[in-house]
Amino acid sequence: MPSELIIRICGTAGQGVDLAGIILTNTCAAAKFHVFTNAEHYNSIKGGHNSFQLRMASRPVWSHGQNPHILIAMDPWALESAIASKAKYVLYDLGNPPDANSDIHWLHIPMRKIAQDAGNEVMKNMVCIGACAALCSLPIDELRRQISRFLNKKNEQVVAQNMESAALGFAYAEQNFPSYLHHMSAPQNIGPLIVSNGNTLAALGAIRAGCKFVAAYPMTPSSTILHVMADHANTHELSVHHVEDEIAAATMAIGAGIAGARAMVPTSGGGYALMGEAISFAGMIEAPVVFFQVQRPGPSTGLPTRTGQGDLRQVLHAGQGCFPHIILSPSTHEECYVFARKAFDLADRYQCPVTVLMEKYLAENLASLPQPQEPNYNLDRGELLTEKQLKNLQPFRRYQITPDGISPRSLPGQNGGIHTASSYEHREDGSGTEDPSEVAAQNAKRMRKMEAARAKTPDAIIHGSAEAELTLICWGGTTGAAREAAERLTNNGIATNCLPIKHLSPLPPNMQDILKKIQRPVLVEGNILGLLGGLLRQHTGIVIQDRILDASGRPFTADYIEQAVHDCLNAQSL
Amino acid sequence: MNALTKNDPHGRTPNWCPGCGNFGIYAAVNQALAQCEAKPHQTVIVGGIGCGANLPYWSSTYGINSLHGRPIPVATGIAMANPSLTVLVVAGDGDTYGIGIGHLIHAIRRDTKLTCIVFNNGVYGLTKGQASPTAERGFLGPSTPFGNENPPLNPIALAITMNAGFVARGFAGDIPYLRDIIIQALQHPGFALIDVVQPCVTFNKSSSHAACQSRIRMINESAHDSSNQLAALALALTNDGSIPIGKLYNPIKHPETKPRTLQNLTSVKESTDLKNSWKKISPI
Repeated sequence: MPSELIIRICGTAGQGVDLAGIILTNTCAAAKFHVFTNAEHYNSIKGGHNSFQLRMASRPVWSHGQNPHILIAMDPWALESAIASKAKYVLYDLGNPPDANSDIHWLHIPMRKIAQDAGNEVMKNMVCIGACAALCSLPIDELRRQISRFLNKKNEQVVAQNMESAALGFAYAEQNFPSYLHHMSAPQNIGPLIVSNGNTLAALGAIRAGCKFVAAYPMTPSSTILHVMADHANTHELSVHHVEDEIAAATMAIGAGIAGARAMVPTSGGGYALMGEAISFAGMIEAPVVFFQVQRPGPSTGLPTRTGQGDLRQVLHAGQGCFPHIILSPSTHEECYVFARKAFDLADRYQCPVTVLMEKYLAENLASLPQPQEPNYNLDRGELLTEKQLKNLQPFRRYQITPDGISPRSLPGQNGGIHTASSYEHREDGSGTEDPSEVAAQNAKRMRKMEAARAKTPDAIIHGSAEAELTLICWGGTTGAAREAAERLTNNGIATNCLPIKHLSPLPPNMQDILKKIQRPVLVEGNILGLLGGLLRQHTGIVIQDRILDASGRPFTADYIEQAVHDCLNAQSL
Repeated sequence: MNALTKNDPHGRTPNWCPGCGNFGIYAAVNQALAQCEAKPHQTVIVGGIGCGANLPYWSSTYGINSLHGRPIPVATGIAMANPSLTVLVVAGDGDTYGIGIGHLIHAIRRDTKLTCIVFNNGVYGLTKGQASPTAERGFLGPSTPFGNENPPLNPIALAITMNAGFVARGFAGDIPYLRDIIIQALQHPGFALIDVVQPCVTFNKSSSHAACQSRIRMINESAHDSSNQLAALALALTNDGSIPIGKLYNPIKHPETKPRTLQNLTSVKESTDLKNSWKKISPI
């Protein structure tokens, strides 16, 4: 019995590939399978070829897999690509199967005709997932339920026709392909599951943390965060604004932060670049604000709908001058939620900009995960003074020099807290200064906050056994494939573990120690320069010689990393 | 903390050039605020970057020295987060009509309650005298040594065309008149724009105090219907060399066009419940 199945739905943009994929994914999750998906889109509304890959498994999985078992070819182009995809079963309608490879089972299904019979040819995507559900032995009733769930905005007749299309596809597959049905045992004892993407989870984490103000300019692949916050505006009393440009977004959020609201700005690399001066402003006036930078490949407009990790240095060095800036890098879907929630506490405590650095792979792809249970979560609003406390602190010094660099703050509206928050260099009371010793003192005070933050930054943790020949060093969305590759390599005789770096600034306090203990580090990153490797070298002096780098715009897979590791090892032994 | 002396360039009194129009505007702002209901700790003055934009340093209210061109969105965020505050923007013509003009346009659309005072001297003073978006054609400055090639833009006409809720012009040399305009603007429930004509005694010799004085004309309030957009536009497009000052446009807006009043967003102390959101993304 297989422990996982990978299904890839391919078609032209506009054929409903995504919707079919989302419904099938949720059907699998409802049937208690773990799921991880990857959708690929060309950068256009119609035309272009899209694919939705769904990996369903009886144990947790952390990436989308590589080659599909079942390929659903909704257009002739997809059929042409079937051999390259290394699929075992190909469901198709139009066109002739390329006959070069007899290992592939070409399963013809008249999806358009079946859809037409059910009511509309456009519903052939439902026929496909119906047939696929039969092949995977998923319950048709669950599939119908998910169709109704995701089409609840359509009228009853349309929903019924979609369900009928799926049912007919299911029946067709059961009747015509009985020997290809797979059975997988669902896992036992898994608690309440949710199915979501990193962007949605980040938005929920922000809401949970009491974020009330959102200013944003849409930019793929971050726009989902804005949309989810907007959807929650009424139920959760959020102030959500799609503004005229990214600089307006950043400066508005900083204004809200100055006033005491928890504020955030979702964006991607190009938008974040425009925000540089504002980020430096927040650092200088010590205002809390949270940025979500959801990467896509650059440079420049690059590949709006693909994934990449090219912006590490951009974020590390955002804005002019040296100022505290905390950067978090979630490496799983769950961490998108947890780190987003944490970011607001960090911003308030250290009174500085905090950036949660993500990328399309985790941000836009659905996966199943346990619903976060948070028994002891309390907000930390940092050092906020009351009017009573301010009475005894006259004359009030907003930028008071303190041992840990954190100066208790007042909010506009509070009696006794009046001060100027200046983007110019300033004294303790906020008035401007050019005196060398005052300037030096404020710079030192601000950067002391980073030391305080570093002391509380969680240590980096190795995934897998503590002793290993190789350690895959990774960050962000690459982590899932890396940890699976480490498992496979270990099972095949090369003891490998994985070290994801989840805190980029400050780096974890044990960074030097943990790197020194690694026998042979192998860097795995989605950019051409090995940016994380450079950062680690900068801070620890340790140079990582073996590097698996990819800037193709497509996500890593465990297969790819495993092969690349073998290539590294072979290259060395030559 | 070092003791501040009168001569300290970052001391308690402004460091503007003697005769600068900023002093007049500063006086008018302070007098207007003194008559305003809001107390100093309930008032926030957000400056951009520039000579006049440094005014927050010398105000007795909360102050922000923000970024060049960006005081309007910063002020917007403050006003949205805490609608009980009285929020003003003080910025130059370079700030507001050059780098920040996108924000001005969209602030008019958003109509957040702000009083935006533009110190309009036709020049970038703090960076030593370059032509600004309101400088005349032919203006000679360090970046236009052979004469500014572009005609000035007309921000008042722009605001009126966009149906802004309160559009006025003042003159730094007539403090009581400007004070009264600011008082009205502070009471306006949406976005209020006050363009203040002023000389820059150091860098804009062609626009001296006397020259400004000779050009300004107070609007005849009984002859001008400030709720009439076309009449206001005609005033704004005056091209006989005179500059009308006063309240040009203050249409009576229907209640539906007022911005949604938000509650104070700043007092969050407990984390928020997500029960329904989790349910929505549960497959079961």
